[in-house]
Order: sequence, then structure tokens, then C-alpha cells
Amino acid sequence: MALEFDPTSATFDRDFYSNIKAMREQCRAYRHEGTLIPAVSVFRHADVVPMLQDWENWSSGRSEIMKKRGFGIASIMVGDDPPDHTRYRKLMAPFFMPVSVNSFDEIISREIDVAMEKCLNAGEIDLVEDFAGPIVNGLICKICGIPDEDREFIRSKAMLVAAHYGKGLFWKEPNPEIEEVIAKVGWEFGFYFIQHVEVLKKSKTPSILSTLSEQLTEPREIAAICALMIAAGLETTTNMIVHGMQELIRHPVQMAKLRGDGGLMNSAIEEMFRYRGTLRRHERVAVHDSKIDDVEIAAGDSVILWNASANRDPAVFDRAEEFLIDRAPNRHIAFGSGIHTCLGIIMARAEMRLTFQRLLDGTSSIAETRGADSYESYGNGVMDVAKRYSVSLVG
Amino acid sequence: MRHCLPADIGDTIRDVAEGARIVGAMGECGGFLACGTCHIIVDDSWATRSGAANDDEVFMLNGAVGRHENSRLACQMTLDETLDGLIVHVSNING
Repeated sequence: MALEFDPTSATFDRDFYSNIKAMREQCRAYRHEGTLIPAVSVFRHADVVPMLQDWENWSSGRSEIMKKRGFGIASIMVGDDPPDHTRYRKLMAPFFMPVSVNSFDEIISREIDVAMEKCLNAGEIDLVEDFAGPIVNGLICKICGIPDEDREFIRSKAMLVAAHYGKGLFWKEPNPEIEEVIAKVGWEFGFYFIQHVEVLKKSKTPSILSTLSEQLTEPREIAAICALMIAAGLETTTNMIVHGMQELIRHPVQMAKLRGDGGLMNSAIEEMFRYRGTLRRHERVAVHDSKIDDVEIAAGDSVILWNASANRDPAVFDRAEEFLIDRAPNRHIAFGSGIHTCLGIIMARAEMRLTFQRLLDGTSSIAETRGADSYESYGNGVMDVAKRYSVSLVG
Repeated sequence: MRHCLPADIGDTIRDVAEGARIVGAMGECGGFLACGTCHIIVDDSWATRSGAANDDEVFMLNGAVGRHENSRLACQMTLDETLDGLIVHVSNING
């Protein structure tokens, strides 16, 4: 039977990990048939990691059509190769190194306080909208100097993108409605951030964005960097908190183990990243013609590197399909690898650590409230995006 | 815990750490000077002989927690004959 792997199919998200396991076991590379953009998927750790690291042969440069079908405004830096990539990364890196991120702990803790106050012993809550989203959004908005009254605007637009982001590569026919939704968010973010940065400058409000804007002259660059910060930092960690908790609830022995030994918190969080990382794939563009087994790749083809598959590759991880909070070593690639390794790794870990510490320390029980209907996904598939997760937090 | 590890000329300290699965010196990015998470501290006895951090390395180390005058990034220290016996310290400083 011919292999079929269609990330746009209605059941792809629901069956994601079994789909990806079957592909990883059966082939190293898969040519998607009939897609508007020629695309090849790669599944195994031994292929994914070197390709992520080899930016000279597997470029991050995005074509105009890819930008249109992705979230083009935010493709600055992540969609660039050196030297542009290096320039932008050097501008942003100081804000996300450990010394800087340590200063965020207080902000994160305050946001967690507010969320816990609202959700603890409150009966059924939505872990996405009532808890994780506000915490992560609160941090991003605070460090970007975004006023509280604009938080909802930022979060709602980021959600719109996350619900659809990344699927355009696999379309077999144009999808102008989704393109328009994503493009509209791009315009709205661009308009908002250019104005916002001007306000910050005039009021001399210290924030990451005002500092960055002093080093960027083009309004287009300022808007793009701002959009990237939101796109990369908001829905990724929000969903990581939600799905990390979902795995703990699904694995009560692991939950009890973590409640009994707080020293396992860091390894538990790494296992959440490995097992349910939000970004399931990275995109690259082939610079040269090449071949993986019998799959020919032409220069200019898009290559989809499924890090979520690599993270469950039994060639690298023992008992790869099991969620084990004390897994060691755990060299997952949830944050990518190479020059494009996620700049926000330290921040994401801090958010996860502080949030899960408070969640477990402050509750005696965390449980789903609607049985099998407790969880609802946007069904994106290439990104793990929760729509709702109905749970109760009991003190 | 002390590890005594064999290395080849041309290896970086990060390569050696990767081979021995010493996570604290392996870093996140695979040796591309992209994350600053392979922060190590050269032992005082080797400080003057092990060379200085390059400009890009200093840039990344400026954001590191627990920065020390002998701080280096494992991915930027390439081994040669003169570093035979080099001692470096790895601690939980890369979070």
C-alpha cells in the first residue's frame, strides 16, 4: 500500500503521533504529492538534526509565496540566513540570555499569582484561556511595554495565527480565506507595533521593544521583530503548559512521582518538551539538488523537518513513546538545533518551572472535568494548539 | 564528580562533552554559538595557558549566570597539543 501522509487531512492532528511513527518507521523522506509548493518531509533524528544544523545547504530563507502562506511578517531572523540572521540574532540575544531572563521571574510569579487566585477552587476552569494564556501573555506584554488594556488584542490575534500557522506548505489548492486571516493579523500587528514603539519612545518607557527600536531604523523591521516576539513566545509556551499538564493528568503515576519529589521538576519539564513540544516541525529550503534514499529533492524544494518525530525516535530515546518525568539523558530537539535554536529556551523553561511548581505546590488535585470531552484542539496538526482544556484545580 | 576524558586534536570541549554525555557542557544548539548554554569555567591552573574568549563568545558570556573571569563556552575551545591535561569545571550554571 502506498504511503500517505497528509498534514491537511481532518484526522491528522488527532492521530498525529501514530501517523508520524508510521512514517518514521517506513521511510526517511516523503515527497508530498500535488502540493502547490514542492515539499518533502523528513522524520528520523539522524536526518533531522544534521539538516537543521546545516544552514548552508538547507536554507531558512523564505520565498514570497511561503511568506504569504505562513506568517510572513514574523519571518524576520527565523526566515533569514547569515549574515542577516546573525545581525538580528545579535540584537535580540541579550534580552533572552540567563541574566536577563532571571529578572523576569518576578513578573512571571505575579502573573501566576493572579491566575491562581482566579482558578484555584473555582470549579471548572479552562486551562488555556483562564490560566496558561494569561500568564504567558502577561509576561510577553510586560517585557514589551504593552499596556494591560491591549493584552486581549495581542492574545486574540496570536491565537488566530496559531490556529492556522504552518499548514500552507501542504495545501493542494489555494486557500484565500486563511491567507487573508493571517495577512490581516500581520497588518494589524504591523500597524499596532509601529505606533506602540513610538509611544514607548516618547514616554521613555523602558522595554525590550524600545531598546530594539533604537537599533533598527526601518519601521518594517521594528514591526517584524515585534510580531516575531509575539508569534514565537506566546502560543508556544501557552500550549506547552497546557499539554504538559495534560500529560501529567494522563499519567497519574508520573504526576504522583513529581508531587512526591520536587527535585524532578526540571527533568519533568524537559520530558514535556520532548513529548509534546508545540512546534512539531521546522521548515528549510534545499539549496542544492540532493537525494534521501530514493526521494529526490530539487534546489528550491521546501523540506519539512519533523522534530516531533525525531523526539520520539527509538534510535535515540529508550522507551521513546512513554512519558517519563525522570528521563535522563533527554537531548530532545523541541527548540531546534544549530544557528536557529530557539532564542527563548531559557525563558520558556523559567515560565514552565515557575508555573508547574506553583500548580503542584498549590493544589491537592488537578483533574479533567468533562471526561473524554475535556480537551479540544484547533486541529492545526503541524503545531500542537489547544482550544480548550476543562479542568479543576483543587487546593 | 570528576571525569578524565580522551580527546582528539581539533575537538572542541563541547565535542568531548557530547561524547561523554556530560550535559552541562553540551549546550543546546549543537556548537553553533547560538545559545550560550555550554558555559564552562577553566581551572585556575590553566587560565593563562588556555587562551582568551573571542569577541562573539564574550558577547554570549555577557548574558551568562555565574560568569567568572575564566568563563568560556565549550563550543569555542578547540583542543590542540598545548591543552593536553586541560581541566575545566562544569556546574549547573547553564539554566
